[in-house]
Amino acid sequence: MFSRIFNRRNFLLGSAATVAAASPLVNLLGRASVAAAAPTRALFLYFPDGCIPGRFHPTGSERGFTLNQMTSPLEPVKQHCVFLDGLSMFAGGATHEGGIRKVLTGTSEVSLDIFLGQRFAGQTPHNSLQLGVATNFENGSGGMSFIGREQEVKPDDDPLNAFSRVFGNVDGGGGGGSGDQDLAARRKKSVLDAALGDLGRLKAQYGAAEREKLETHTESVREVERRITANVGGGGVAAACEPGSFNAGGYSNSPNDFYPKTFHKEGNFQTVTRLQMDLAALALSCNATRVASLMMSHPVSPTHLLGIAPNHHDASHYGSADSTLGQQYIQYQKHFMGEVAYLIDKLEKTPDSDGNSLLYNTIIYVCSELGDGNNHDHRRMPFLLAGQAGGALETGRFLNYQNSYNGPFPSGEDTNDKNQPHSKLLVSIANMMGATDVDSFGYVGRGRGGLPGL
Amino acid sequence: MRSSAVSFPLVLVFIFIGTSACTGLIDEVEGPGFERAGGASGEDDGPGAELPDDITPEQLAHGEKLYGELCASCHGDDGQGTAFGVALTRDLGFDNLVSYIDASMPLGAPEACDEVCAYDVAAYVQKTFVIPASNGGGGAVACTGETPAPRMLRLMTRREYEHTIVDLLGVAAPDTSNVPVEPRVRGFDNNAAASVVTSRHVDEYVALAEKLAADALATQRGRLVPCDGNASGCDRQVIETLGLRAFRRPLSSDEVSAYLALFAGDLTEGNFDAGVALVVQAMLISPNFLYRAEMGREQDDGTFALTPYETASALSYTLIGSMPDAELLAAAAEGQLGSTRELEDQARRLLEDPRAKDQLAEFATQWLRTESLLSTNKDGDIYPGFSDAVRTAMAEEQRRFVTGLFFDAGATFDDLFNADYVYVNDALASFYGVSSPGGDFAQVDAPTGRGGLLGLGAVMASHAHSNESSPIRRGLFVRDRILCQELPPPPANLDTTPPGLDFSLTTRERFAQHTSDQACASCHKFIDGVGFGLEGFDGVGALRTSENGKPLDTSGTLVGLESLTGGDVHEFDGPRELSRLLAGSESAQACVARQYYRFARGYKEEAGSDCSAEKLGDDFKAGGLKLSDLLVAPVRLKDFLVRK
Repeated sequence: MFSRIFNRRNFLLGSAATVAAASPLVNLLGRASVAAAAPTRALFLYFPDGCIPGRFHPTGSERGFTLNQMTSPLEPVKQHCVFLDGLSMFAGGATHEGGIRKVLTGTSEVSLDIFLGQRFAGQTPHNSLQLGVATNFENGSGGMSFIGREQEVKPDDDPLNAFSRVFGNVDGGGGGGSGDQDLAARRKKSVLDAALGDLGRLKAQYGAAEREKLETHTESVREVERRITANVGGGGVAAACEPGSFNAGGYSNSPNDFYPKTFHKEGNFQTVTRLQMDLAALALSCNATRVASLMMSHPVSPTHLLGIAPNHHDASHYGSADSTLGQQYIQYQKHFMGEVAYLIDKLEKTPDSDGNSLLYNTIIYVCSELGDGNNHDHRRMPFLLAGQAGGALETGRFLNYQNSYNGPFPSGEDTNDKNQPHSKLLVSIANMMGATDVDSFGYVGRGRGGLPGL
Repeated sequence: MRSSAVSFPLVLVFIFIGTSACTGLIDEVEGPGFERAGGASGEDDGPGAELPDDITPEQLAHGEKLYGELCASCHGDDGQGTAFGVALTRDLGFDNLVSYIDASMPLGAPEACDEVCAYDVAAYVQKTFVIPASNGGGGAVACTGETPAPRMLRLMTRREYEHTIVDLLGVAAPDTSNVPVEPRVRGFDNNAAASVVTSRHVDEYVALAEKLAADALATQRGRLVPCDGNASGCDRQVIETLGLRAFRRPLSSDEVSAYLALFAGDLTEGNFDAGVALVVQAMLISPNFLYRAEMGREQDDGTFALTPYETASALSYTLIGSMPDAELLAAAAEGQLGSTRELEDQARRLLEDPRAKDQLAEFATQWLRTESLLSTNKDGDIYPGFSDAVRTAMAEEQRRFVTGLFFDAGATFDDLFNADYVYVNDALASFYGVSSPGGDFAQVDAPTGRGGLLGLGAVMASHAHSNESSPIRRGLFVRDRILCQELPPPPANLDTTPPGLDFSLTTRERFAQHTSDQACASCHKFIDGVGFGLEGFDGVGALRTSENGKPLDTSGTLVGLESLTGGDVHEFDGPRELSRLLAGSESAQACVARQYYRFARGYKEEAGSDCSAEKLGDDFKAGGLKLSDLLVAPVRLKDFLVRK
């Protein structure tokens, strides 16, 4: 439906699009035409329920490695990846629930996607985007994005709504001329200003009580207001920024689907996955945001795919890798790695404003909440990176951090686990994104700084 | 015994912190008089909890060091708990604490803390964080007073938003499905601390406000504009009239001025209704609309008393899930709603409103965790009878069952478990194997094995897998939802492979093999034995007497009925015997009150801040366990009006 009519003037500014998009878009395209330096983007991509480490991690040397069963679908794009073995998640909670809470937080209160989005606030219309595939369907274990202590940011599972939020109702046309748009923008701003005024009065009235909640709320209103005041656009828009190409397959939500909703139906899982990936790529390439996260399903995934009888989570308790259940689990995770390959390929084929590919200017962090799905542990996490982060990351490598950490060990931590902590990877990603002052992110029990040798 | 008060002054600091919430409230004349048993205020004779005499300072120092390294990241430097671990204020007894730490802590890596480690850490924890009974207790001892909830701004849930819009504007309920899903805390969707407004919320609220303002002006203009738009002062009248109801209190003059600015000529271009639309939009995205405040005004004793308007909202949202009506707002305007009598009268009036039943049904859905019943995936090959009509009927049965009891003045807690009837329509009668009442829902005698809330199809289908029953999920359901006994998640590095489907065995046989392992059994002895007694229900809540050609064994064992550490063992057979056990359990009786308290108050009480929740349970018991009483009882708590 969105491919039919696309009003290019209106694509950037979400529901504000119909009122004030013209000038910022022109500005942005103007910058693009002079090949502005492209910003580095980050994409956090989650898949559920861990892996079989011995069937996920590659074997071989840094530059001469062979992919494993679960990662085999990444073969065509492995030159764009950095495979990481030997990372563990320490401290925090156990099992699925603890894992999903810390995979992007490192046990701090705010997750890295939200943190980076806040760091670049004002540079793009959206600080960060949280997208999901059936993440709100039968989810009892939570998500990975947090804006404060125990304050989860829920992903949007509806790709059409998410698209419309970022790019506006492209069917709508946008009404009349710029005079109307001006008036509508002023009206909208006046309404948001009223909310900001009320927030200010409440903060003054209540002092320290509920201050954090009101500050978070205030920042959220300001972010929305920035979109209509056109004070956005920190870099070039990729040459391939074409929201009109979205949903060429014509997916639509049926108004008759309540239980479950159309985008939560298992038959639509892959369609929605691809739409959300396309949307994430568009949002990054159009500089609607510099940071996106995308969760494919959620911990303890109830999803059935590929006609496999046991659901995803049941298969993740595979017993032994060569059992029927183990083979089914491998099929499931291969499916997810195939989706990862689709996204990497998509970004590789998207030219960015500086002449490089969008992939070159992006850092993708592929993650899950468990190491071994069977054991519910947080060792040898199935993590990998893709994209060159604007040149900061050399890809086509396999880094094995097993037995690379030799102390000092926090007392009580398992000294047999000589893996590096994943919190250092979070630091590295923050640094690659330009947050160079970050030298810790959550857990520091095995030292500060980024991941050595990355 | 060494006097820790002399040797370890640090210890006292923690104890002061731990009890100040209660002790600071004692003896306030106007205050509600919250206190705990003992009521000690941290005198020198009130050190940490009981310890063996021979603990040395070196052991405590060692324990402190280990605590910092192994425990603090989850339980907090101050022992007050974090997102990852519980507060350590509850007195379990020193020996119990040592053996628990030795066996289970740190979670997932108990080998990291051997017996010596466990002993010293336990000593440090016991000395530093645990609040002993003699000092008011950290939750394990009887409370004699109440612990008010914190001051909160409570973000409306999507459901509350929809109801409020209908009442406020007189338009049809909006579709809020694009507003972010609420986070769940202990199963409830209205936790104030976890619910914040992100930019996606703002986008969706703005989009809704634009649409709703247009709708309201098109269909309800007379209601919004009670005056002639050309007349002087009409703008102010619009703002004050709508504002009183949107913010659920009168607007201040500053607020009125701010909203008057929306009638400025450059915004309205002379169109009065354009100004009205902007006022409606602005009010619908205002924090004063989106949050209901339970902030209160400071009192002499340092607590905060809800204002009459805040009280009106608290009553209304608690009991009918929507904004206060004209009568409540009028009562607030007259400064009423300060006495228990007035509150109770208003509560009883609100309970006559049909929406009170919706609200109670919503509580039951969240309490019993049946919210996914309508959408959950079930294997159609294994359960062809579990049709949409059956799902819908199960949800309706649960609604009729709980509202029937909670709105029946004679019904008690016992009926909740031991009722001998079911509510069925044709579809559900056929599914349950009882004769059809013919057409619409009717109450009929329960078939053998059904009856009570454990026999509800909605409950049994919700706590099961897509392709089989789940003794573990059902055992956890009874522990967590019915008995309020929270078990930790399985430790890391433990093989938790569920036994695969094996059509030569029953589910019970497969799971019994699995949890005979010692490491699993330490927790699963509390779980599986309960769930085994519910094996008479398959994965969609249908009754069965055999599985895979084998007769079913529905005998069960419940270890530790009133407390996980009680050590008592109860053998039973089938859901009816389990129901009788639970109906007579003081823990279960207190638990329903606690769960209702959580739903009503929207915050996560912990050991040390749960005396009000406990008192609600005590009042429930003292009043003869009348379910209808439970709905009014929260407004009788002193803490209904007080925050801290």
